[in-house]
Amino acid sequence: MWSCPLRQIDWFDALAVWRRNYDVNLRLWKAEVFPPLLEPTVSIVAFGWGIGSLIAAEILEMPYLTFVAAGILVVTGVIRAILECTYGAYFRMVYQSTYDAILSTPIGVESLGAGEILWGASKAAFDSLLIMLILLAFGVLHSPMSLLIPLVILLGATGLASIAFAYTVSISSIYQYNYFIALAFSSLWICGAYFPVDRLPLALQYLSWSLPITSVVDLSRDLMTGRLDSWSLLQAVWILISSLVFTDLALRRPRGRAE
Amino acid sequence: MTPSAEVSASPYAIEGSRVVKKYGDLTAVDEMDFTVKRGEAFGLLGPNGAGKSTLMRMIYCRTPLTSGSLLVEGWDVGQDQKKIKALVGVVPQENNLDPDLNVIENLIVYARYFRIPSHQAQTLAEDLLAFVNLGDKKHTGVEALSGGMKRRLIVARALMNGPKVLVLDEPTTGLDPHVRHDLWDRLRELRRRQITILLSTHYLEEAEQLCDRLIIMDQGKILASGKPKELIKLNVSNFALEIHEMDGLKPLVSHPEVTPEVHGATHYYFAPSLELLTPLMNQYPHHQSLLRPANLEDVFLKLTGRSRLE
Repeated sequence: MWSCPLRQIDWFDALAVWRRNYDVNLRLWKAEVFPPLLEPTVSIVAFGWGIGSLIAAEILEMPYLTFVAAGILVVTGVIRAILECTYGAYFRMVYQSTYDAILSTPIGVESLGAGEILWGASKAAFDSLLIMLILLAFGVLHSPMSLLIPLVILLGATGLASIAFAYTVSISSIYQYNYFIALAFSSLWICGAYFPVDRLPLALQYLSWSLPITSVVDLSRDLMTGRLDSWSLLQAVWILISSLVFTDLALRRPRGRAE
Repeated sequence: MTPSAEVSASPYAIEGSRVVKKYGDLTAVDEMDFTVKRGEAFGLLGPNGAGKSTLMRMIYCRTPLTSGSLLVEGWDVGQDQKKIKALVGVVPQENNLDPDLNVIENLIVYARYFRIPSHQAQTLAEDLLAFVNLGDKKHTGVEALSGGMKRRLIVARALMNGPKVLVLDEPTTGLDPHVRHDLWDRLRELRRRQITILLSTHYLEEAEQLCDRLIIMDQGKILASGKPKELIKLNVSNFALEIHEMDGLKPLVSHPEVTPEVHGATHYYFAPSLELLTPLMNQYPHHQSLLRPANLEDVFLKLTGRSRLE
């Protein structure tokens, strides 16, 4: 019989799982807030000023700094979500037996999964907020609609966090992440973060647009520059649907492992 | 919704009927029938791999049954997991305290999973930390606690939801005698509070000290069940004599009421009175011997096979 794991989620329970991670992060806030900002800041300097100075023409009618800043913002957030739902989740599941303790309480497997996925996505959104403060200093936030970017990243990162979580509950050794990380990080190079997708060979363009992350980058860039059109709306719908589908698929995985 | 009137009237906290759990070809729990009365301390004894932990995991709804029926406080483990989990406190075999949180945070965060309001959780956590003598460790990191303290904290955590049934899977394994006795005192106190206690253990003394009734199981089946003293009387008589280093010697048959057993290089004699055993001891003045009351360990070893090596 077709069942929908999304309907099994008790959101109050999922929030309790989310809160556990939030509390831990609050304890470690210095380590959680400052170091993650360093790498994107240097990236923006390196790509925006460094490589950008070599690129005379504007890209898609915007300076390269603006173009790449949107990409780095999304990629940094997404990496955060992926790491949280791969290594972070694996540590909680295997080495710390945190899931074992939680599942001995009234919290169900689907709610636990939802809490973890949402946490990964929230961290992506939170990081993007902090990075946007830096982008403000670089003067690349051209539109007040930029304020909606963390929301887009939250939604897009939910899909990627779901895939990461599904992989986490499927593996038996931490070394199996080598495959996942190689694939996931490779996709970040062709998602239009650093150069327009239409510069790629046609086959890779199709591949790139099939990845929701490409739409997250594109839509975030539209919001940053305030150039929204019907294509932006279509991308928003695609991000929403793909995230829901990935979350649903991901939550089908953990029950077998938990039992 | 409440359990049916018929079930609510039941005197049992846990009722298992033809409970089966299979993992592929392996049958971990094999058609077990058992009941645990409300407020009693009930023991599960058996060698490693007997199915004790699997049975416990089915009771607290972590592992589904393959077949049979299992009710906890009248609720069906197949249907009412959330209700059962709200009523059960779990002390697992492995420490699974949250190393990212300190002592009191471990309890408060756990309380959230039961939807206990935070102000109530704070008071409850402080009371329970006092109960397990960890009141002065509130803000200590979990990793800084000794093994005994961690076990006590897990017991406190298992009590956060005010459970009707407390499930303890080998709670004192690896602990030194002082800590073990201290934990026993806490469990006796909980028994006085009418909490149903389900306990698995390798320590037969622990089972004798704490359990009103128990079952001895092996390979997923119940070998014997009853009160500890009755089990001893029924299976091995009141007193035991052990004579060591008896390689190659045959046991003596001295009296119809004396039952001899040979296990490896040790002879065991069981009898209803000491008088029947002392003459036997005197027969072997140069061998190390021990005359003692028979205990649950004798029953356990007899039923599960003294020569069994794991």
